[in-house]
Amino acid sequence: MAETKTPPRSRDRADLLDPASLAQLGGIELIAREVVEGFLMGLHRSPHRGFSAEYAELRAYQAGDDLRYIDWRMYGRSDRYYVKQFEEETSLRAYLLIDVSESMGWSSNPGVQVSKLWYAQHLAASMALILLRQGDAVGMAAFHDRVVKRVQARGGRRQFHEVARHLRDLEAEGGTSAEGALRDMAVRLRRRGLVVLFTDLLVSREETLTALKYLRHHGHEVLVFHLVDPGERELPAASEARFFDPETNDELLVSVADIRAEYREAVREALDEWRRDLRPHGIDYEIVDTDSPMSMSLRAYLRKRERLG
Amino acid sequence: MGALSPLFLLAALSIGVPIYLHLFQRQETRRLSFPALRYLERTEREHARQIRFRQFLLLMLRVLALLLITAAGARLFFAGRGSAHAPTAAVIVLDNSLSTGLVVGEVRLLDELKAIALKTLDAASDEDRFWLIRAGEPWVPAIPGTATDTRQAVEETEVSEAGGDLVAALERAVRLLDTSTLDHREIHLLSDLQSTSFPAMDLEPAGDVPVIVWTGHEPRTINRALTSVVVGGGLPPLEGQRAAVTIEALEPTSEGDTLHVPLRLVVNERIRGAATLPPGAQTTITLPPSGTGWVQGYADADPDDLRADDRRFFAFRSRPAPVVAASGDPGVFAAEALAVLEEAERVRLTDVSAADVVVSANGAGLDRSTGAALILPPSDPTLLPALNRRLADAGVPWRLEPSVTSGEALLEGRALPGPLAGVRIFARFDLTIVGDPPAPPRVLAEVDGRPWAIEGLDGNGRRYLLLASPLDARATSLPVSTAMLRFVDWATGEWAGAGGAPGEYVTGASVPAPAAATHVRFPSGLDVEIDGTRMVRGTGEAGFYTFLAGDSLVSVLALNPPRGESLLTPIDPADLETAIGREIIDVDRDGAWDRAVYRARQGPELWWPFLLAMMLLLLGEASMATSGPVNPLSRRGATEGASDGGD
Repeated sequence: MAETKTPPRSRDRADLLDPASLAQLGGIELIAREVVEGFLMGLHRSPHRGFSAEYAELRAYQAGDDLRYIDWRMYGRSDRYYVKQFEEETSLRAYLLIDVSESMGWSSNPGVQVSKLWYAQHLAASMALILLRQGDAVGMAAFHDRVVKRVQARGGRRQFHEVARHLRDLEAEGGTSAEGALRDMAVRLRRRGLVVLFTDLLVSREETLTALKYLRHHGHEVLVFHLVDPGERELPAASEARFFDPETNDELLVSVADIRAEYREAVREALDEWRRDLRPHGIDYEIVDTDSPMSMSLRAYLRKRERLG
Repeated sequence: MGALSPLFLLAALSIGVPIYLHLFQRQETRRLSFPALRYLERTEREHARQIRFRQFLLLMLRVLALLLITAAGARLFFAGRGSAHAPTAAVIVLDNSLSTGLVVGEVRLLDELKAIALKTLDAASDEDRFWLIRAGEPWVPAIPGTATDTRQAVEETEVSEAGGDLVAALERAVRLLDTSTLDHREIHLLSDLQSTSFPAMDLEPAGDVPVIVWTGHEPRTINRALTSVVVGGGLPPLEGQRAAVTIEALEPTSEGDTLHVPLRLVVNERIRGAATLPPGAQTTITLPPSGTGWVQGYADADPDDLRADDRRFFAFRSRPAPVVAASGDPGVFAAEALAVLEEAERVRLTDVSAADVVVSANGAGLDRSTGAALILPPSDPTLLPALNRRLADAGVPWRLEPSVTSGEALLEGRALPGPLAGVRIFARFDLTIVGDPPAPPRVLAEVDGRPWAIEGLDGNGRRYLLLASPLDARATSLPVSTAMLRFVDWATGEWAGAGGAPGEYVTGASVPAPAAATHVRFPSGLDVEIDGTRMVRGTGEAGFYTFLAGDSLVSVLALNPPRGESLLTPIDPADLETAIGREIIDVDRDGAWDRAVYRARQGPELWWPFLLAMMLLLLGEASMATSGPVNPLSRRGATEGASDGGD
């Protein structure tokens, strides 16, 4: 996909744009860069400057830092001390796991509301860019019933293009059997690292919990981004409709008006259950509404990364 | 419960639509792709029973709403309660015949009947339609109108001095109701129900139409009345003759009724005699000889509660005996009648050339006559050609031919002379008009729709009266009845222009006008022009009807009420059904009348509570159908069609 759109002005931070507007910018790499640039700009302006220590290239000078690594050019521009960082400084390996099952391609309002897969692709790309910039190694895998695409975790600028290319080519298809795919990944990931899962969690709860705990058991840090389309939180305005699952083709005749409130409560309970079930096992769980800006998800990642040190 | 617009009830069939949709069309709803079906399944399972119940409730609400709309549109009402009623077509048969002039206590019977009719109209609605038939004035048209129109007509109704034929009135009422488009129809019969008002029984003239009959008046049977006044035994006296006036009182209507009736005879405004009559008796008062001219008089009894039948009128013309000639052989009966009349000095027989009237047998003498002619056909059909030839020669535009029909028939005709009333015909010739008559002839009597007696002017301007049957016993019953003498007397006297009583009629009858009359003066003094039918209608007043030609007096006719009106005995209640119809509601109390009329009685219309209930139902239905908060996606107009990707 050609990247033809003009980047937003500096004050229009891409990480704060709603996904529908973001999708107008261009291809996945451009969007990821814009999101990351905007996000980092926000970090610099934010009162939480300490997070800049995670920056891959430069970080604020701290007492005890070697004076040889002070970036005097930045000092000249900003009248502040920054120290140069080296890739060799980190050994974090991050694995981005993307659920590409049929349900991920669903949008409650195609053309206006981006699909969960689109959101996952671009959030993953943005995260990969941040990880790579701070010297981490990034790999990725896509799965539905099985792992359909995999990129080895590596560092360096070229890795972003590799990851972005594979992310761009992802398509929603097949059912979801997260347990098998996650176990498979656990076996393949020999070095411990950060596993970031992008999924709508429309899966078998018990099996998926078991697989996630399996990952955790292998020493991985796990962060789950639970992608939720707004149309999944609220039933559509139809009075009566036949709903069918695009993955299983199961059907259900529903009088929407009769169960609207109950459904809303059921969704809320389901999300709470996931949080309640994952937290005790040290698995971070973030609900990502696909109509929300990506900065919120990236902040969740940073909080996780900060804890990893 | 009833309906003012019952056809609208068919709309109730529309409930089949939601039922059909509920039962058969629910699978045709939209099919939406929805990955989060697992959440939905859990919710749906938990509430499936509740949803089914709610859907059934929704169906019931919709069906009920449709039924309520239907009920409101059909304008349902509870029957039998309240003062309102369904739109009704009602004919008020108000008997204003002579007998309703009876005063009971201080109230005239007609006023009592009118008060009931007015109460009926007071309870009417704007949608009701009324006709008023005055039984004593059947010639008055009955025009459909509102209660207001009819109220005015009722208030203007006065006692007629004519008789009332309730059978004819009821038949007319049914015909009027047949023209109505309203579903509810009824007849209100307000009458004293005299038995004589029902000339025919077992006819059930009202058929199935409900008839509410007022039977609450106080029955009275005793009545003092004069029932007839006959001058000269039916042959009015001639100039210079004394005349006997026979007066008859009404027969007793109950045992022990022996009260005598004092009476006076008044002639030309002078009392000529007085007498006292027991019920049913006759008395004769002799009048002194009169000069030439009209004699008008009446017999007057002391007034009683029914005043109108206490006086009876008579009128005749005192005239010289007409000069009559018989030409040819008129037959033994006509010849005998002329002989009797000559002996009684009511005619003078002379030659044809000198006679005022010629009784022409087979057309004989027409060529020599200068006066009017009574033309009698021959008994022998072979003589018809000779008769036709003479008629043609005299300029009489008629031919007689043997009739192809046979059988006995009664003489009829609007202008039927009194002496011919009740005469039967056994044989006759067919009268056929030929040529172009100088003046239109007039049919005086008919048999089976064919002319039997015709008058007109011949080619020389002479009057002729042509009969279709010879005056013998094989052809007609006239020669062997007492009417023969009166007929010949009438033909040679009154008809020929000599004057005399033009016939015997009762009030209410249509009276033929004399040929020369241009208008008639009613007893009230009202002058009415005589129209082309030459009949006088609306003779509801008893008294003298004076026929005039310009300012010249032509004739005077005395009309008296029919004798039956003096008989106040009501019909036997057991005979009401056969005399009136199959559905009779007889009411004898004032309060009961109000409840009996307007049989499609209804309570208040229920359309507004139905509509109110329907609105509430629809609100409930809408609330139930859209229960739950509004979907945020729907606010953005985003969900429609967007989720149909799986379809």
